[in-house]
Amino acid sequence: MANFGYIQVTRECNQHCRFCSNPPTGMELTLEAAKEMIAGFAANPEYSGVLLSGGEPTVSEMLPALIEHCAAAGLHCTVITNGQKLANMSYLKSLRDAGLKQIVLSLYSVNPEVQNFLTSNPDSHANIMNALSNLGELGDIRVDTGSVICKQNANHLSQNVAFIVSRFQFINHFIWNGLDPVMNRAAENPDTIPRLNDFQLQLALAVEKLTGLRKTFRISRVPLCYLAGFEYASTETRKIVKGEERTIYFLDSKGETRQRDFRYGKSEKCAVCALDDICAGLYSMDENYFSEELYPVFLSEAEKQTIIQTIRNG
Amino acid sequence: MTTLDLKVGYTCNNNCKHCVVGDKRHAFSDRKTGEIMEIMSWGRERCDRLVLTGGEPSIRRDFPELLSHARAMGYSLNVQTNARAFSHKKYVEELVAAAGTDITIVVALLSSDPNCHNYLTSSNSFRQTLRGINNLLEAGVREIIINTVVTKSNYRTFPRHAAILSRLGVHSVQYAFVHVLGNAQKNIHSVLPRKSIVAPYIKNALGVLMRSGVKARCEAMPYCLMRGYEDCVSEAYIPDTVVADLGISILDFTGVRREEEKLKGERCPECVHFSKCEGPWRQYPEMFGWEEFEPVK
Repeated sequence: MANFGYIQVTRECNQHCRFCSNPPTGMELTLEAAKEMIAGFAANPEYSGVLLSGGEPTVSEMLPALIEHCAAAGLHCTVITNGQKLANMSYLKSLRDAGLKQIVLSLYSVNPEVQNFLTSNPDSHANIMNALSNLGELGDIRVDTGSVICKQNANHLSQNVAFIVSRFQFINHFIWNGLDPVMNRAAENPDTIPRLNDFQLQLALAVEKLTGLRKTFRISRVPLCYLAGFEYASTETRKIVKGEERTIYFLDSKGETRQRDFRYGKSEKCAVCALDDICAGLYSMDENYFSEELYPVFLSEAEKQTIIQTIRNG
Repeated sequence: MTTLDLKVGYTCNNNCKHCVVGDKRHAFSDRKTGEIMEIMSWGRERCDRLVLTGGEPSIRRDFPELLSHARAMGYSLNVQTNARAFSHKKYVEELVAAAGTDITIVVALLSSDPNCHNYLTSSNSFRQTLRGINNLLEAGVREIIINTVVTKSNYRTFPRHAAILSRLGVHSVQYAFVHVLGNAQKNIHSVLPRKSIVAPYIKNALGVLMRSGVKARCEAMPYCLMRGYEDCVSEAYIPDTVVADLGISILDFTGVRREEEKLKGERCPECVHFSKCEGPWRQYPEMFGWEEFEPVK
C-alpha cells in the first residue's frame, strides 16, 4: 500500500495553462501550516510520501524550506512543477541542496508551438528543454514527466515519448492525466477537452514504446476500455485494487480532502464489462466526456486476475 | 464465378451493435416469395452462385422452399446466417432436404466468449448459434464458414476464439473489420476500433487457425496492416458480385465497392500492394485519417 499526501504550496503560477485544474484562488499557505501538514503525514505510517504541488510550487519562496522539512522528517518528497524556474541552474541546485530528490515535470508536447500555446507562455518549451538539460547534468534528482491529455496533444502522444526517451534517457517514469474539465480553466477553453477516441491509438503506441524500453507509466482519468493491455497502469484501478487513499490539501474551498473512493460515472454497458468492479469509470460522464464512447471489455477471469496480480506485485 | 447477393429482407432475431442494415429494418418490408424467385431467375442469367442474406434468411417460413428453388435452378448455394434456427435439428433436416449438403453456410459468431457474443448481438443467442453450428457440421454440410466482425468489444477475445474454432471442425474463418453503416454508424464511438490496435490480435488468430489447418481470412484490413499475413486478405478472393438489395440493385458491386465504398490515401501509390489493395472502408479514414497506413516498400 502506498498512500501519498499532496500539499498545494501556492495557487500562484508563472504560466497560464488553458486547462489548469488548480488556477489561482488568492488563498495562501503559511510555512507553519505547511510544516504541520508534513508532520502529520510523517507521523502516519500509512503514508509513504508527500507531493508538493500548486499552482506552481517553485514560485513560492517557502519551497526550499518545505523540501528541507520533508527530508528532516524522513518523508520522501516529490515536487510537481512546470520546470520553468529549473532552467536556472543556480535555483535548481538550491532545491537539490535543500534535499530535493524527485520531480514530476509537466510537459504537454515536444512541439514548441503546441506546448507554448497550451501554457500561454512563449518560452515554456525552451525553458523545459533547458531544465531537462540541467537535470541531466546534475544527475541526482529523479525526473518523471507528467502530461495532461488534451485535444491538442492527443494526436502525438507517442511522438512526445519518442522524443523524450531519445533526448533525455534518464527519464524512466511517465504520467498521463486525462484532462480535468470540471469547474476550472478548461471550462473557459472547452476546445482543449479531448474525446477518448482522439487519443486511444496514440496512447497505446506511447505505452508500447515505453514497455519495450522497460520504462514505467501511470494514467489517470481514463476508463479501462481505453487502456487495453495496460490496465494495470490506471492510477484509480491501482488504488481500488490496493485499497489505497490519498489526502490533498487544496488551497481552495475544498481544503483538506481525503480521497478513498476512486469511482466516476458508469453506463449500462459497463454492467457487462469484465473489468467493471476494478474500473473507476468515466470522469464527468455525459458532461465533458461521453458514455457513447464506452464499451465493455470481455477478458477471461485469468486475464483479469493477471491485471490484479500485476498491480499487487508493484 | 459471379455471385448474386440477394437480400431477402431485414427482419432478424438478433440486433447486432454493428449491423450494417440495422437502420433499415423498419424502412422496408421483407420480400415476398414470388419476388425472390423472380430475382433468382433474373440473376441466373448473370450469376452461377447465390448468396441468401438479410436480415436473417433462416427465420423465413419459405426458407426451405427458396433453397429448393435455387438448387433446382442450378445455383451454387451460400447462406449467411446467425444459425440460431439451426439449433433445432429438425430444421437442419429441412435445410438438407431442400438444398442438399452441397451448400456453404456462413455463420456470424462474434466471439467464443458467450457474454461478448450476446452483448454484440443484443440477444441471448450464443448457445443457439453454437448449437446450430454443431448441428450443421453433424449433418455434413459441405462448408461452414465463421464470419466474425471485428469491433472494439471482441478483438481481445480473438486468441481464445481462434483456439476454440480450430477444434470445432469448421472449414474457414473470416475476420471482417466492421463496416460503419447502419447500427455501426449509430454506435460508431463504441464499436469502431483502431486498425493498428486490433491487427496483432487478428494476426494471432489467423496464425492459430492456419496452423491447425483451418482456412483463415481477413476482410477490410489493407495489406500494410497485414504484413506477414498478406495471403489472408479476403479481397483477393471475393468473386465478382451483383447485389439485389431492397430498393436498389447494384449490377457491379465489385466496382462500387472498389471505386466508391473503399478509399486509398495520398501515399498509397508508393506501396508495393497498391494495385491489388482495395484500401479501407471509406468511413474509417474519414473518421481517423491516414496516419496508420504506411506504404510497404
